[in-house]
Amino acid sequence: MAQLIDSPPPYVDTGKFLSAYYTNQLAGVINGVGGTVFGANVPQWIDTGENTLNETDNVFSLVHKYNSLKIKFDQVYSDQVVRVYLSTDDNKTGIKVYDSGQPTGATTITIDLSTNPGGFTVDYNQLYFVRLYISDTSAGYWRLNKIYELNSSTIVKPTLSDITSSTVITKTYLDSLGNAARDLRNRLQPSSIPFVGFNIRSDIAGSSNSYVRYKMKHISRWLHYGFQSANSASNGTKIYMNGTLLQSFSNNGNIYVGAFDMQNLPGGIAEPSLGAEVEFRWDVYVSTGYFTLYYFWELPYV
Amino acid sequence: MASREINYHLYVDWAGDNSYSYDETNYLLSANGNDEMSNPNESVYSGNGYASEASFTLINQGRRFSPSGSPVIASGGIKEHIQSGKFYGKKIRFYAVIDGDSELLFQGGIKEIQENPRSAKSLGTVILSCTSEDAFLINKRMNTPNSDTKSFFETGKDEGELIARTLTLAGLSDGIHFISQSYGSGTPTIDRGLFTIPWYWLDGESPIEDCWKLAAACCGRFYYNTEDGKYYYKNAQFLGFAPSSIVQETISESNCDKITPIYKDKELYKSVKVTIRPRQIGQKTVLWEPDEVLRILPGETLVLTAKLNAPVYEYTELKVKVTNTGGFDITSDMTIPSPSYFTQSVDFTITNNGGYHGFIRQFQLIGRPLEGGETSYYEADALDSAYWSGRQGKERKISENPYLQTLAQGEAIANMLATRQGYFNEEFQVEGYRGINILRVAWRVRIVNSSLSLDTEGIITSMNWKFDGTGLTQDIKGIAASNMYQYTPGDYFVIGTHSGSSNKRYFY
Repeated sequence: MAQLIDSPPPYVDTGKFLSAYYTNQLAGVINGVGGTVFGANVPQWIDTGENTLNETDNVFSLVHKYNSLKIKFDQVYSDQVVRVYLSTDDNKTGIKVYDSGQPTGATTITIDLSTNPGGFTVDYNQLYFVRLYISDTSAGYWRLNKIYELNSSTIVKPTLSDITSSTVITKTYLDSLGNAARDLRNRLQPSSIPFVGFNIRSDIAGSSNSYVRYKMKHISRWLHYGFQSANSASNGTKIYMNGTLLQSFSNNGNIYVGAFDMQNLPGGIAEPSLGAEVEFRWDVYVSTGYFTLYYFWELPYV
Repeated sequence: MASREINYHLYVDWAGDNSYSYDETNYLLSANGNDEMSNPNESVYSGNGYASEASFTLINQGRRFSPSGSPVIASGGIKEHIQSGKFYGKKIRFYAVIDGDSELLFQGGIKEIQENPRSAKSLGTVILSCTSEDAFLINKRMNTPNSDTKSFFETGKDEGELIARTLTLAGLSDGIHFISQSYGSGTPTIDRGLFTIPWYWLDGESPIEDCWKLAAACCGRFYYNTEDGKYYYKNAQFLGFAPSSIVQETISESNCDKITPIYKDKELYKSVKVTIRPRQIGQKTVLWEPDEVLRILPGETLVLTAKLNAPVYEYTELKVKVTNTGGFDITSDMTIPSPSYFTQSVDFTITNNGGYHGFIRQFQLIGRPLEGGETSYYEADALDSAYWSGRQGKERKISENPYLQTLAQGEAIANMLATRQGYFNEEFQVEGYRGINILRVAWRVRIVNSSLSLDTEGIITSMNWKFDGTGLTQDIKGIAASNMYQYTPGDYFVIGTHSGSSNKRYFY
């Protein structure tokens, strides 16, 4: 949050000296914001389903930052009912705060947490859990895009003039930089997105079967993973990027912790363009034991 | 020494209506006063201010100025305005007129009246001891609203904005007692600050002393200007601009009695060490609850003040539970109007509108405190390493200022002071100056003493003035004007003037 970022530079005056402090503070704000924005790129779980998803079959965990909780569907149908349950106890389903039919198509359900819906209360920075009930449909595949909290404002790119070596640096120009830094600092972390991990006890593999599936925009260099493999003599745990096998891990019950260097991927696989959307799929095989995916996200450091 | 014609005027606002309608000039026997750049017991660059003082000796004809014996207004006296201590704080203005040019030499308020009753040997006189207006505010105690602390952190305020806010909270008016950068008209008296100060609050503190702390943390100067009766803040660049960067007057044997150079080490330091104390927002916790169960009778209103151990970023919740003697919850019988949330205290009232004795079983103030971060230090050595090679010297420590909160600020302050105070800068003293200008503190002057082959420029750090039967004189003290900054003012990049190809330098 903002307290991790340097204070913005002060406004300046025409006719006074330009200070190194001003320039250093400007750099400090931008570096701080950049470090936080690029700090943790959490991939969104893509869920595609045709049948009923019960509230006991799923759980999303978030840390409460902003009051707008959003459940976004890429596709839902008018014969479906969606219920949303909130709880601060991961052992309990919690309070039903939403229960309604849906229009066919893409839709976003918004829940205002500041109104304590259904009596649910959660404090700032507190962990809480979201569970969904999505009823059956024969109309096609429903597709959940993501669950996230949203700040009320959006970042608007400021208008900053170009300068040359002969441009007289004015108060107007410097204050526009300072205001842009202030705005950026104040609008930090526009969303809080949960990571969806898995605990799997049977084979879930293949492009049409695996639901351990994520998408994200590639913005940081290191793709970190942490999982415990199940036991399966004949197959390994496999990670695919855009349908191409990235790496296979032996299924020996071991815990694997590591990071892919997106600039030096295994097998010479080309790095995705910066900002491009990338889809990952995990193929999981289980003979004995179970597979647990603890985390899988990009960070700007190893 | 060239001659000059001296006149003077003394006006007192006995009526207290800002009219200054009482002209007491004809009663004035003598007057004297002073003005200092900083507390004389500290470095001239300490930033800790010092209220100006003045004394006026008046002929007490007809007991006019005696609080016990002045005639009533109807008889031409001022009794109703000064009896029973009513003289205290009454405003006074003293003008010096040199060759027809009038300048306000002192403006302030009366603190004391000293009576010298008439005797066989002397006229009856009184001495009005006066100070500048800031001395009357020094002992005021103030708390900042918590909303200020939180919002100022989020928006980022510089020390000039914080000083303006402190003056406003102290009851002074923007545009009248000072002019802030945001006032919108007139020439601001509060400079734009050079540093963003993340955390700002007062907890039962003096507004004037807090402004001094802010100035000291930023190498600036906060003072009450007796020349126009307004509060000023000059940021750390003030010595690079007029009247401190351009000679305002030449002082020589032709216009004063004596010029004495002074060579001492009060302002000489080999290094500067600054202590930086950042703050950070803590996790939500119970900030305060009473030590005992409070009882509240039917119809009673309790006034509570929660004094907190640490400042608060935000208050999030007040949990209250009141039960009656039988243990039944009667919280709904209580009325608690919106509390007054200050940064380090909260004022509540709770009224029992019910018919039962109430016992306040739970009264918890919950929120997020400000916690101390990791203290850091920054040390800067004097630049003239050749001079200091083989010499021992003092270390200047700046460690107790709560407004030194970021390393970047600490570095700038330490580097600036290590430059300025790492060189041996001569001081000087002038006695009996009788020029055509009233010399002011922070002015740059040229000092010429041909008998000592002395010809130098200095900054006035102290000014004492005296008016009596011999005329008007000033005694001043100052310090050499060299090495105020690492480079001369003309080397620095000026906003609105220079470009990237101008080959200029950043200020600190």
